[in-house]
Amino acid sequence: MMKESEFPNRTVEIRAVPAARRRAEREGIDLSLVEGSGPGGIILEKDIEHFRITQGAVEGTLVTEKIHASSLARKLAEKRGVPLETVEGTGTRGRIMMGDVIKAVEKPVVPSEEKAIFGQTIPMTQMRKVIARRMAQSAFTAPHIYFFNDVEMDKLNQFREEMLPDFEKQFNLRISINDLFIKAVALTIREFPVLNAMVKGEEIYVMPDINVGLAVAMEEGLIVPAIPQADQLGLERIAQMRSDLVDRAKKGKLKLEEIERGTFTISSLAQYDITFFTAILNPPQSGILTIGKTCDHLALKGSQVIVKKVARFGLSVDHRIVDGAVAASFLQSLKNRLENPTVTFVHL
Amino acid sequence: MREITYAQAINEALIQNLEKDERVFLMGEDIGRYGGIFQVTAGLLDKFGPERIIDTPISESGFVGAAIGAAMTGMRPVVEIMFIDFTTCAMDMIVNQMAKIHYMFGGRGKVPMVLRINIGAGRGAAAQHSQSFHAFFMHIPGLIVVTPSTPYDAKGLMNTAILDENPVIFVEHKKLYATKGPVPEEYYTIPFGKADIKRPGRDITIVATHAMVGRSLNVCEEFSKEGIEIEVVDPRTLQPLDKESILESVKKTGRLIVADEGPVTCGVSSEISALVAEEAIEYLQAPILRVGSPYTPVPFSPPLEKIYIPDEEDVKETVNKMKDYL
Repeated sequence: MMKESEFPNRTVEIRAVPAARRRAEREGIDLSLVEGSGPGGIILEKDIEHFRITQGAVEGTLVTEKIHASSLARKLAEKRGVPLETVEGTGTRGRIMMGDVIKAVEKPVVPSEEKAIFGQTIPMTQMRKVIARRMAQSAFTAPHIYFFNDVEMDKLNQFREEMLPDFEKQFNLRISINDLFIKAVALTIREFPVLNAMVKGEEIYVMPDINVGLAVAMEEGLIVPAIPQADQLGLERIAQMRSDLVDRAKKGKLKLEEIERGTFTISSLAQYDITFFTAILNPPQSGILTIGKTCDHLALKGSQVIVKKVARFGLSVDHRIVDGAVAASFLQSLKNRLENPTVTFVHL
Repeated sequence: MREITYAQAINEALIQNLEKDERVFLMGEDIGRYGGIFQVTAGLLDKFGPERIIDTPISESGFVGAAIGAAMTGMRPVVEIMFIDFTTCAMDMIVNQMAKIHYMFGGRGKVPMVLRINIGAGRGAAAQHSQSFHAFFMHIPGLIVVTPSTPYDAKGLMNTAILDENPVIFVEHKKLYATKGPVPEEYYTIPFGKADIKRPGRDITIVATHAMVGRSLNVCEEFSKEGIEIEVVDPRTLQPLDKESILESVKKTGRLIVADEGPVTCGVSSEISALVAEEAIEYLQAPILRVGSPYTPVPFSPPLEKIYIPDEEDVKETVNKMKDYL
């Protein structure tokens, strides 16, 4: 006779109605990542549906509930301030056990000697798993096309510098160039609703609100909190929300909803020495804007050689629902907005 | 269409069968001069005489046994037992004779009879005259169990019951006798084993019997205003049971409530729940819930009896519980 300890470990902590289990199995969805909305958190079939539609926004599913961990491990991690997503689980199906947390506490994740990592197999963290799955899903289901244009930044930079002192005085906020991008993008989306849309079966669903996400890079991965209804918010509100969201993103304190609500993504590498780059769509969104560093370009003004500040913008779109001409017009329109900031941002 | 009561509908079916088939006769306690405890056989004695409308002594075992013998020799008896509670006095006749003869004689004998009984609490008749243990007959192979919920169904099913070559337990409901509904004057039959969708819906299936059908229908409109569409499926016969219609409805809605007035313990609702759990569990969006009587004798005290009876409030409460899974 088998001893009880020899019985295969069963993952009893996932509660889901049978229809949800069947659906998850059929669609290859890991139930441990799905948040249940039924009584006592039981997973309903509609939660699977919701997960499928919105998993796009959850670039990093940072919410601790979704991380497989024993309750002892959770408690200990909280007490010691160890982010669970950085802990490697050794339990069944990668479940994080108390011992794993103790190990993580004892051995802080300082990249020790280099030789230790080469030739090693590194298990993925929960966050990395989610990113891997979602990026592969996006790359293999949405045919991407890419567009680039050069945006003159002189006026925009000048506009921002002129605003800065006023803004600091009035709102005690330091407005960032990203806030201007967010607002301009949201306004441009109003003109091109298909950039706020997603593929749903054989239909195109145009999402009701324009919620612009800003990719935030962290050591463990990328996360995209979104500013809701950015087209309708004033710059001070955008600046306020952006700084709060980015701040909390870095601390892993975002709410799932703040990630899930995104309908378009901006990813900026302006601080790196990168001229331009392409991005994989954040599923199920149909557009992602990339921003490279600002460079000096020589140009002629009359007979004089002048220096212009130019940044190269890129746009990746889901070609299933966005055609080249639409994407080009979008970028063109965005460029016009950014190059004429007073027209764009004043009287809003 | 004209409307008559459930009791009148059965009365009319009996008249039409007595008129058209001379093998049909009635037996039971006080069914003649008194017209039956619930007046289902009212007026029949005058119309058809004491040869065909027979008042019996108080001996359920005796007159059920006599009817079985008559049926075996070619008659079509329709027997009334005043309350389902009294079938216990005739259990040997019902379970060991009526249900078994066709089988034990290798098909060379048959018992084409109808045993009319009634269930339901709510008349202050206490623990021995108010029970709803019709599930017991569903448990016995060899019996057909009929459970009409409307006057229309009562007449059509009674006509089918008298035609059928097998013993039929015809389970009426006390609280339904006075309810009215449209019933055609002409003779018609309703096939056994064919459920009736009393109300179409898409969110929740309520499989309901007897008075629970009306009680369920009464709360449907209220939930409809909230955008919840309940489908009410009335099996009409428990044996044979229309599995297909029940499963089809549950596959559509993903949520099942079974409402039957019997105690839920080993009840009609247990059987239907098990059926769905066995054959359609992967479609379920919520746990199966049951509405029925509590596991206790029917109380005599009117306030307690009111609490005992599964009513609209109980159905509502159960739907509300299920709402969390919508």
